[in-house]
Amino acid sequence: MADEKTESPASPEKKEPLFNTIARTVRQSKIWKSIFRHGYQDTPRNRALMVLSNVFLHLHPVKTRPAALKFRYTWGLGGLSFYLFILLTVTGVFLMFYYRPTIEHAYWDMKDLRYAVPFGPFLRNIHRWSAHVMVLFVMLHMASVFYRSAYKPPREYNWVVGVILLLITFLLSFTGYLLPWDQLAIWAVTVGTNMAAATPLLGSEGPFAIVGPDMDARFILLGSKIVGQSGLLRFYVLHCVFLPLIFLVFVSVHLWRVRKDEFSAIPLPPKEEKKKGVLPEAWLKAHPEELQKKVFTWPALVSKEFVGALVLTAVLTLWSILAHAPLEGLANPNKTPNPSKAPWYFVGLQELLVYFDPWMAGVVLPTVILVGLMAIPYIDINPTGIGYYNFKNRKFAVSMFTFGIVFWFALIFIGYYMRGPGWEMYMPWQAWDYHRISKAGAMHNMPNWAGLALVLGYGGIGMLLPKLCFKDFYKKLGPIKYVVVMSLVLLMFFVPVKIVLRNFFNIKYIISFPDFNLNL
Amino acid sequence: MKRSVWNKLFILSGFSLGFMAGYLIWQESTPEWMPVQKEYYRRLAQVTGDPTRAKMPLKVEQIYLPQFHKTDRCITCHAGIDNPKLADQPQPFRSHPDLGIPGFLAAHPFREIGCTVCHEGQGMATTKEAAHGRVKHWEEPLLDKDLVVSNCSVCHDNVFELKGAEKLAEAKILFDTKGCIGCHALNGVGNQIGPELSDTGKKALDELDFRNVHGAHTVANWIYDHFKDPQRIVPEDKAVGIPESAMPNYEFTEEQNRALTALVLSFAAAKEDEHHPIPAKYRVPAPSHKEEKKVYASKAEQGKAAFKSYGCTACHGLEGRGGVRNKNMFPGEEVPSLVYVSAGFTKEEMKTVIQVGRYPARADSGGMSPPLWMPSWKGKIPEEEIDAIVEYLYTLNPDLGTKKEGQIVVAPQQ
Repeated sequence: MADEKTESPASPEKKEPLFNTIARTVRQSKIWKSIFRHGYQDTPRNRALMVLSNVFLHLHPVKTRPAALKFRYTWGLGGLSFYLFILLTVTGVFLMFYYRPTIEHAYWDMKDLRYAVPFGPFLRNIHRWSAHVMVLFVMLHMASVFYRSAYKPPREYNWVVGVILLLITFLLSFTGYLLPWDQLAIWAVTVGTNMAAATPLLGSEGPFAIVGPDMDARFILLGSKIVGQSGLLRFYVLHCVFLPLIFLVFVSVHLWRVRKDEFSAIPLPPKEEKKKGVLPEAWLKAHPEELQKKVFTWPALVSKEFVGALVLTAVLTLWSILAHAPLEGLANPNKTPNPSKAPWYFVGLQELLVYFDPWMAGVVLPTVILVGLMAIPYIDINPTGIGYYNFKNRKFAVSMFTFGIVFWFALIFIGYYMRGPGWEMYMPWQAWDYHRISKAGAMHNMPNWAGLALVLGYGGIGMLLPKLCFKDFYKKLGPIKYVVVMSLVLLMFFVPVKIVLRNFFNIKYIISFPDFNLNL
Repeated sequence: MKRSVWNKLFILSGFSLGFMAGYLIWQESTPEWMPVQKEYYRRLAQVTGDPTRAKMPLKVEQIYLPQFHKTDRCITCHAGIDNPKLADQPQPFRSHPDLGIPGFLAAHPFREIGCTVCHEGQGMATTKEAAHGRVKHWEEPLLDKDLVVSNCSVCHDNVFELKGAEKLAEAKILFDTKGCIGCHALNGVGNQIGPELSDTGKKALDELDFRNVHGAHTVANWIYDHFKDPQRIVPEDKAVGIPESAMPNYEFTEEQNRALTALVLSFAAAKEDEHHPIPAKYRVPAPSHKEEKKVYASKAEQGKAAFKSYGCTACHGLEGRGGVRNKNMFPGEEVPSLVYVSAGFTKEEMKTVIQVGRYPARADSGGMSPPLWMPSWKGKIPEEEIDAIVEYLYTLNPDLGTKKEGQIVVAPQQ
């Protein structure tokens, strides 16, 4: 009683301060306990409960291998892509309060957002920039998963789900592109949907068309032959309801599979072992206990995810303060801007329109790319490299994938930064000249017999040569996988072949059957 | 060691987010228009002697015009626009002048029709640059004061008899006497040698070549500069394959150029705008004139009137004296004078030329085809009037009477 400093709350004789009494009563109430189910003491039990008793954090495992926590392993790309989806949903719902998907109002609602809605510009900017970043992150996430072989067994299925998510991300961004209803929007979507009209069989302008322009693939997308009111409404519903729901379904499966299949990362051997050239797989066989070393996800992983999301939010906020989302003049279907460009992630395909007819550049090649990506885990039978970056032991797979992805981004760069009026080539620092005379030479077609011979020869030699040169290659893969792999590879290299033929030999088509709209 | 990087990132991004949130709130609460409106209310209190006016709440004011598909927020800053007590204040506080036209202010209630219907600009914007439309992708910036008259024809059908629109009337007289429809069609009346004029004022900026236009890139500036020097604005363009402008340089005065610019803008303004329709109740139809059948003293007099009204003077000059340049034309790179046609053509031949038209020969056979040519007038001029024109052309020959009919003075061109 004499010494108040030694007073402890445990002693019942001491009078408890009023604040403490209230706090204790609140903490012991049923309401408090039904929300905060366990205390904050830093015990292993609570660390586990943090994850287990929370439906959102429950997407994580309770414990993870430390290798998966390294930033330089995942680059945080998957988690951040998902975070961007949440950010886009939230900002998108806010934007929906101010937006009417009609051609009378859509553009003017953008102006209202810009000038009269509190925080309207910020809302629109961050939605726009986040969407771009999400498309980029999803692509990079795919690349990083490829390079650390995380698609190999048992994660083949989840890789396919990931490719579907990539496609949905593209479609989400593409449908959103139309909604501001300005010149940029309407013409980018015109470029995109005209490619749908070039679908073989089901597109009115494609090869072997069996349907007219009033019932083809483009008409299904737009509800019309051109981008108009019905197209705007369809894109709005797709963008705000249909695609996000589909995305949510697939992303749930995606995250759940990550939980079930575990993070792929494996512990790496110490430096001196690495120098001797010991592969992590071999080292782990000698040290199986290393695989069992795990840490609690809370806080080791969750804190990093939180900080990553925070940093990304800060960057996006700064970007949204510094730059306004583009808004050009009111959409006018009668005035085509020159050049009209697709959204940047499709500009690579648009660039291919120089070298291929739309049915090839806009339909066949993207389809083959997607199917080819999905096929990767089933045709890549090399078991090394799972869970760490290994290029040495998978040279073929890595070089093919790298060529493809660099080529994809190079085409985007050329199309986006180096094409001016009339799709003429300009250096990025060169000013566009609308009055420049095209220097392109006169194009001619190869005779069909020569073209057929060239295509068959390219395919035949391409198929046979690796089999003859690398016997092992064929033996390991077996006939079916070999044919699939070589078809994909040959098709990929066919694109640069066509680029060379056109630019250096002025050859427009190798094979041309104008009666069927079939030109190659 | 490693954790500290994440801690630093957490602190850094957390603080910067807080700072940026603060900045956004500050930005949102101090818009550009706010001090302007505050100053307006201060002046209003001064003028009215009512100090409570100075403490009015500040907010974005707008004229909401659903029937025009417009919202004009101009009055957020130009708040005194319909308060005559502020007539002597500087911009943006002063009230709208009555332009010396009795009944003008009463006939144009600004809070009912808005501002941009006459002045253009971006009515929805709330910053000065954007509201005045001097920003990229806004193609209808605030019109120069002397060109606002062009938008009278948005509602008024007969602007040429409208008080206050005298400029347009003057320009219309020029338009008729110079024979503009000889080359340009206006709402389908006239020829297709030059572009149709009824939508020139509403052209998109990327449809026009601004390389040689002085001043801001607006349609009005393009038209004005083109009147001053057509060939400078539309030079020969090999990439697009068009020759230089065939329009003669009429060397109008500065005032005439401005008036003609307003006239060309008014043609487009008169057309219905699908995005911003004008409700029928605002339209002022032209008073109905009874079509008077004109009586002429002679066939040649009728022909003279027809020669003027169909725009023949545009190329062949006043009273057919020629002198209009036509690049690469043989002979002389000029549209032929008609003074001596009676000497080279029979009346039948002349009638045929007018009805069928003809392309001029090239001086340099490898060069571009001459930009001007004689169009076919069949169906455009009634046959009776063609006969009258031929009669009129026969009276032009100054030698008539001194020389015998049929004597060749100038060889007919082939």
